[in-house]
Amino acid sequence: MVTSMSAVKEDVAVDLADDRVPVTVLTGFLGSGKTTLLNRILTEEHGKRIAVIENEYGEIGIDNELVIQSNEEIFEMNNGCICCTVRGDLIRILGRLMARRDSFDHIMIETTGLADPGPVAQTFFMDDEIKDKLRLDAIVTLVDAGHVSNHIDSSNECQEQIAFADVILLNKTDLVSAAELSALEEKISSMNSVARIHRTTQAAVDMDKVLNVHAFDLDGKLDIDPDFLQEELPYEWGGLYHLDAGSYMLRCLQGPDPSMNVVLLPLCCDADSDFNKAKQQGMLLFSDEPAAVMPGGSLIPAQNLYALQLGQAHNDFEIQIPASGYYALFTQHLPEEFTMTLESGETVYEAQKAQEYAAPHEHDDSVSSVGISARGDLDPGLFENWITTLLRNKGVDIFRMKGVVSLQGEDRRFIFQGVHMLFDGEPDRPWGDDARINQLVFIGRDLDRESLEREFNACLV
Amino acid sequence: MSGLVQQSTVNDAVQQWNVGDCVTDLSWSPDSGKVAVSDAAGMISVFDVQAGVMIWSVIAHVSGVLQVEWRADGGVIASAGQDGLIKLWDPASGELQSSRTVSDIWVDHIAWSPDADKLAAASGKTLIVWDQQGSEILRSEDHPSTITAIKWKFNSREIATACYKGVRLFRMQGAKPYKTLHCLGSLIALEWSPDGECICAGSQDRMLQFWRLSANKGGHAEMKGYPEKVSNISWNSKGNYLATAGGNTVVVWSNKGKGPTGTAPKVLKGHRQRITQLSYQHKGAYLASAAQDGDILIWQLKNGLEPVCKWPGDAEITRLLWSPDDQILIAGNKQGQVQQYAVVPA
Repeated sequence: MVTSMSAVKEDVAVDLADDRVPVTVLTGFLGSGKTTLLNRILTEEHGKRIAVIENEYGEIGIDNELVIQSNEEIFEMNNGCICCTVRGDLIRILGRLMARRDSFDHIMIETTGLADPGPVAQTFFMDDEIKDKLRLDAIVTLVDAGHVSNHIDSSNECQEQIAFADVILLNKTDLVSAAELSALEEKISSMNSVARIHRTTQAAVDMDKVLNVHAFDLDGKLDIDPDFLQEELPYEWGGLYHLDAGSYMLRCLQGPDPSMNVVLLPLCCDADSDFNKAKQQGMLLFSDEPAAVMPGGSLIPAQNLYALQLGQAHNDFEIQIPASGYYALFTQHLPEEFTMTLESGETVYEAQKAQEYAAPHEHDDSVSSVGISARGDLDPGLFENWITTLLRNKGVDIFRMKGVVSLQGEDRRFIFQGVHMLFDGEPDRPWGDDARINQLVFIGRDLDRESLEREFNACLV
Repeated sequence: MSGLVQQSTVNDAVQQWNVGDCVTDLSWSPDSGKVAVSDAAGMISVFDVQAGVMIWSVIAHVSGVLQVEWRADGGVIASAGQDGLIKLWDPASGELQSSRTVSDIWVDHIAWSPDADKLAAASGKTLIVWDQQGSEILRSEDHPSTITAIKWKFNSREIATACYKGVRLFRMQGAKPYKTLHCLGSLIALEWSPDGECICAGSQDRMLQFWRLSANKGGHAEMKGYPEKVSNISWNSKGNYLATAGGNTVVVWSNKGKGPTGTAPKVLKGHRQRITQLSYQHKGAYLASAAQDGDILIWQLKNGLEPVCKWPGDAEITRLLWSPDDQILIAGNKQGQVQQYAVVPA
């Protein structure tokens, strides 16, 4: 079920203080440390009235007077969506809790180790009364660093708990080596590139990392961290050069592809921060329509995407460098695939700093994140149609999505988020001087990056 | 507006009591003289309505009272709580007569049979019925999910339960229902028609389920199009109108002739917020509805689709109940206030 996006045309309601009680959902396998975290929260936030809804098979006792036991009761909503399920037990218990005048400052819901977070999250969208009185703050997933590798590839529940999370505590880090931990963190962020990952032992974490995260709010805090694309950049290689003013030759032999997209950008200095900024710019430029350059043609360092045509045995392109300084070159494929060199006269220039970026992963049926970042305005009608159709057809596999998009004729950013087929979106603050950049991220199973990108691009004006 | 309904002109102290915490339930004595009020803090208080005084008040269930119910013969008050207990109270003195552990989880619902002979309770997935002596005469097998409502048929011989995907009808024998009415969705409200011929249930997914039970014209209908879940249902005394609420609107179906199937309901608009309570008079024609903002509206269908009376409030009404003689409407709210409105019979 998709709610209407008619809000686009309406004025933003006056932003009244949200006095709804925040709810945090804790997920994670048995033994991952949910109870430890819960007790830590109850201890550190002892001034607050925190109600705990605990699954029937709670690991060990929670030291809190407001513990309510709950049996997981998953109810399908009779609206034709097979993924539209809610937790009947939570609706009932939360309803009772909210009846109390001396309500709570916070509610924690601890799910069973094998719980699907989907119905829990959807409960906060599907029940109007709960939506009015409670605010789903965040889904916090605990991952047992020592044991998660036993089920991260095989267990749907484990994958979904990671995919749904806003915050992931990679807990029990003392049980694994630094190398194993890095590999695990990389694996987790390839599945869910949006979640904030914190490494912990004994679930020790600052409370502001797990409470009042506002992960589901549509109030401007939804900004997507541009780093979410780190894992899957549109280019495979980037190099930093120091070049003097003059004429250079970029030489490529014939390779596995008939053409290669490249971007050449001037930098202020050789600082990492500057190179990273160029990486972001390059990422955006790679979503532009490239200008084809035939062998013998030339390119300049600028905000341009070039498609070098590499059909011949030797393909040489001229580069004019206007002023001495640092330059960043990003290439769609690895330079060695085309034996690419940058030369001037007799001198061959090596990149002072070079980085390879993994080619987009083959995900098969596993859980992954697909991020889209592109400039340009979207046609509101086409965009709405696309999202509606996408969620109708793929909603089962899309666990979470978030986005900030630029709609044609709209001065304000349009922000949205969703859980499965449930979509929630509205315009927020004006773009002002900010660049109108569309940023979307989908987290789900068996996502097809190419078709998502293609369909998104078709909505651009 | 009609002058038939008037706010009580008795002094303020009589009009309003305060029990201190969210009113979770109200129950009238059969003679319309007293009201029992339960709250989220765990108290039960009994008020003399005419005199406007509290007769007694006790801490009944420390973790909160979920329901309080006066037996139809007036002889005893039953209460159920989050502590898994059912307690019986002497209505005159407030003395605890007995306490019964039903389960280790909440006792969500209790109901005396209309003939005052039996007490039914639902806790989790189980329905239990006891006789006057407190002996168990029925213990159901587990329902597929937690029972969300129980309702006696007028003749006290049958009781119906609602849960996910169905209504079950039990006679006073065996652990299994003698009939299961299947449907999709999670049911959250349940009512028999006064003659026991029809049963209807409000559903979480914004529709009303309606069954006709008689052998020759039995049938099932789904009424869709509600803006929100249907959590309130009330029949008028003749059984020809069925009032329901989902969201801000009251939807009244006619059950005349072949019933509501295929007919257009009357839609009563006037509430600004979600309706929380809906109650037809026992014999009269007034329908009372109350909302989250505290507004109470009185409707009389023969006077059209506009409310005949409106009493604004400032806190969510959690319970709304007509006195057995239909002369007083009593409302409890989230702030713990109990208000009474005297009404000239319709």
